[in-house]
Amino acid sequence: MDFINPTFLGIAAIGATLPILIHLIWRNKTVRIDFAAMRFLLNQHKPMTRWLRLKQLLLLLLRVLALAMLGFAFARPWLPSRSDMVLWKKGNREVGIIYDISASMRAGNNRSGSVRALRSVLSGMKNGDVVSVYLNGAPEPLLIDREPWSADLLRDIVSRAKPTQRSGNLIAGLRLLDDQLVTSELAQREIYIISDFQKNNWPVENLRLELHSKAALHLLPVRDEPWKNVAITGIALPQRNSRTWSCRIRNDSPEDIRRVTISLYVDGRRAARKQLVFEPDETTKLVRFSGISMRPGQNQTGYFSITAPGDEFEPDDKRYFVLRRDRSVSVLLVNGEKSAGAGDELFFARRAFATSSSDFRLQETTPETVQPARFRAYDVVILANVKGMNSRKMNALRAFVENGGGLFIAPGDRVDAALFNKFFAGLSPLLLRKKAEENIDLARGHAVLVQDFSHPVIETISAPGSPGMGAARVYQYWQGTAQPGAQMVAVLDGDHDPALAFKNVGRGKVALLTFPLDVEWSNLPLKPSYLPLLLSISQWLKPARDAADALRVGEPIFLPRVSGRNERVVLTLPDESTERMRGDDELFTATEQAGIYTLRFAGRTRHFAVNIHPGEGQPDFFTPSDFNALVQTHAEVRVQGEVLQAGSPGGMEAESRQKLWRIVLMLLIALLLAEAIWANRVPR
Amino acid sequence: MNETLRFIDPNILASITSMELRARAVVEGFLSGLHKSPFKGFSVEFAEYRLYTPGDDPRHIDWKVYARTDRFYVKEFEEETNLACHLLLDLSRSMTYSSGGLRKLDYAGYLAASLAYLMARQRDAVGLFTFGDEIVDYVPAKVRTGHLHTVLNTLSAIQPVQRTDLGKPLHTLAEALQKKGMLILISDLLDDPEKIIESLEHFRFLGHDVLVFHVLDPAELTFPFHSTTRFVGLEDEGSLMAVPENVRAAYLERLKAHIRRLRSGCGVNHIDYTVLDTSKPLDFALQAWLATRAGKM
Repeated sequence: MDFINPTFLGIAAIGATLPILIHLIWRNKTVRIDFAAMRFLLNQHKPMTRWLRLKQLLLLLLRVLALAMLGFAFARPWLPSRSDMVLWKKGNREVGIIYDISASMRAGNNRSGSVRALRSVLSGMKNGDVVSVYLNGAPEPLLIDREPWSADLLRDIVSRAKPTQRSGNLIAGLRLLDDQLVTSELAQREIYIISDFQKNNWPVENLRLELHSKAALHLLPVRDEPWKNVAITGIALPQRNSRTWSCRIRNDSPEDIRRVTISLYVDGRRAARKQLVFEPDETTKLVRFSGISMRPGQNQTGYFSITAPGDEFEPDDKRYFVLRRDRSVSVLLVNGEKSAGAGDELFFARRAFATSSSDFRLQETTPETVQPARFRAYDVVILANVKGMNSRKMNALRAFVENGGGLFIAPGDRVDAALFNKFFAGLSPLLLRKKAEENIDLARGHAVLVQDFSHPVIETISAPGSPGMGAARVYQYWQGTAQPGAQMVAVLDGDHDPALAFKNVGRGKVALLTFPLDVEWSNLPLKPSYLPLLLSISQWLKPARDAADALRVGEPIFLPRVSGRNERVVLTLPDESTERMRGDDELFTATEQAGIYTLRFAGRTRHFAVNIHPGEGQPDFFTPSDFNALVQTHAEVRVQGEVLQAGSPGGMEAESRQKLWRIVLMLLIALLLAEAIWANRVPR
Repeated sequence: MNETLRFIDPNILASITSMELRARAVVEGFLSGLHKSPFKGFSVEFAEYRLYTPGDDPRHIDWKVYARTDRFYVKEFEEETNLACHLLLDLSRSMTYSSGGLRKLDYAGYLAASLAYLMARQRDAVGLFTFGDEIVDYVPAKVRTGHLHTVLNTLSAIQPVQRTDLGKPLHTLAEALQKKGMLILISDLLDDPEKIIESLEHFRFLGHDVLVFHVLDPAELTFPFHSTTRFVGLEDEGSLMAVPENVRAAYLERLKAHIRRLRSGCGVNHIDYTVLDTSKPLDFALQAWLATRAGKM
């Protein structure tokens, strides 16, 4: 049994002594009467029997118990489950360990530090303890699923936990272990996070993570100090008729690393090389290579590479690319508010696509006239301020997306939130709540803040020489709630409501802009970023058969469908090893190495450039206050053993469920009744 | 309570400082409350003549007889027409008990004073014995003017004495009283009833009329106590820690048995026995005495 307010037990103990004290004080203060007729009193058989004393003691006991029960009730008792009680006495624990092996853990001494931390955690455990290990950044994260502790566990984990080039997701790990520990039969529950706490491992979500297992959290940062790093953070490949290649270099330690050599390799040969010198206060540089011709009509592969003495993080020193000659993207524009002139919903979008007419083939229609059977003839469907469509059209649209099509939704004033949520449930990255049209400051509006600079769509806008989104202002927008699997790429300043969100649905992708494509709610169409944003979203949304040649480590390669039953798809990995797959395999997920992946099928060849997440090399770390803002738990939180947050009593939930205080109060009432009856029967 | 009887309330009497005034208040109040006095006046009644002999009081010579016979005759009167009554007042420590009102001793004192006053008013000779283990004070029975004052003064000065062996002083008294008369014993009679009855029989044997007033406090009659109490004897009988509820029944039973025994013992010996509650007015005692007195005339 445990108590929520154990202080009241002390008060109860003091209170329970009161009747005893009163009894002791009054015991020697019996009434004395000088009496004359003593001859009739003396020599009686039972002047004051032992039974009377016993009754008085019983009365005293009732009073003591009544006061003790009162304190007991205020202490709010609760009972752990029987198994808890048994095992708790033995002191056994269930421990979840999040062990970070993401790319950033390759930096500096992170790896050795994490092994030391893991050893110290495991050495504190004993037989009967239960362990789960989540490998943050591994393709299959749950390495050990609730297994009994053993002395060989450390060796087992270290041997199996090979460092990867992936990005991690510590939130997912916390969520998984918390879900496991909720069902634990052991009362002592702990989660250890052994990580460098690099910010890239904490994906920004609109939801605050709430832990329910009441597990004590132990944060074990393993880095000693920020590492020295130079990284390629973005590249821009030559566009049609252009011969300029460029990349952006970020130097996190310009005082320590000043000289950087950057090379461009195309089709296995070095095409250019440059020496850079960073000033002490200079952290980024834009490098351009001009006059390098492309092979006409052919796809090319290559990478940018940097060498910098003192650089402690190597994985982000190369940036692979595939330079393709793409066919044009067919786009179906569904106009929800067709009118003449600039009032037309697609007035600006139409002109944006026209600037790149060779890349895009446009077809325009309205929700009423669109043919559902025609969706599959297009790569991307754009719904501009479309209120909704009938169920046949919606089903066709859903099938279109699930089969690899791209859908871009830009809701405006014609949209009804309830109808939208009904039609687009499971499809849209966001469900709409309401229009944010109160307190609109027309002079200021909301700026669009990019959350994920590494997203391919944003990379295009924020690439060297690109306009960015800083000048755009949004005056009205739809507030939305993120759906599972949604990826927030841009938000609006102020309340950080979503601005641009993506979601994978089946083999296809869905993008949602929370304001329309015209100038009714924002001035984005009037800004330079509008055109590249619209085009890059459309490019990114086009079906996988032609897209996704720029991937991150761990992202899947969509395999082409081959017609012959015995025909094979052959994938050559960066280390020159090959994988042979059947035609009905849809995905290749083991993109664990950065580099060029080459796919050969039916006499055709396709290349994929796989790079590590550029954020992995950034020495930007999660602080305890960041952690508190993101993770909500009532349990204790410690950082390197120091208490960051004291845990609230673990039994609150159990106590409120069991409500033992009610039983105690009923006992108290019964005791008081017994006391009242007994007190009348027992002479003073 | 009747307006005239309110003066007989013992608690009101206690506020009167003079014992004589108390006695007068009781008796006058009592008598005025009676609608018609059933008692005749007691005058001195002629018995016979005898020849004068030297030493006789010349005031008693009947001069009319001398005129007729030329001899000195002296009138003789019947002395017995005036009752000689002795009040026997118990001064033992047990008489000092009070449960809140008058002490039994005070009540007994007022009763004795009232009786003495009433007797004096009716020209009966009244005497007083106060006793503890032995006789403490003695005022012989007389009718003489001013004698009442002596009796009342003695009653005003009574003080309790140590433990009483009731039998012993009563036997002593019985031996001391030569003349037959009326004896009024006022006591709480907290002694062996057999001894008490034996000593009362002694009085009866000697020809005395005996009236017994058994004075008890209301608490002694009802035993109204509740909380656990240490009862300590007033005459060194010891103490007892008791829960009153537990001992009440036995106590009352014993008290009733005691009273029953005294009542039956007195009845057998033609002794008037009256139990008096100190919270009740004194008229009841006076009526009892007058009834007894009337029976003796």
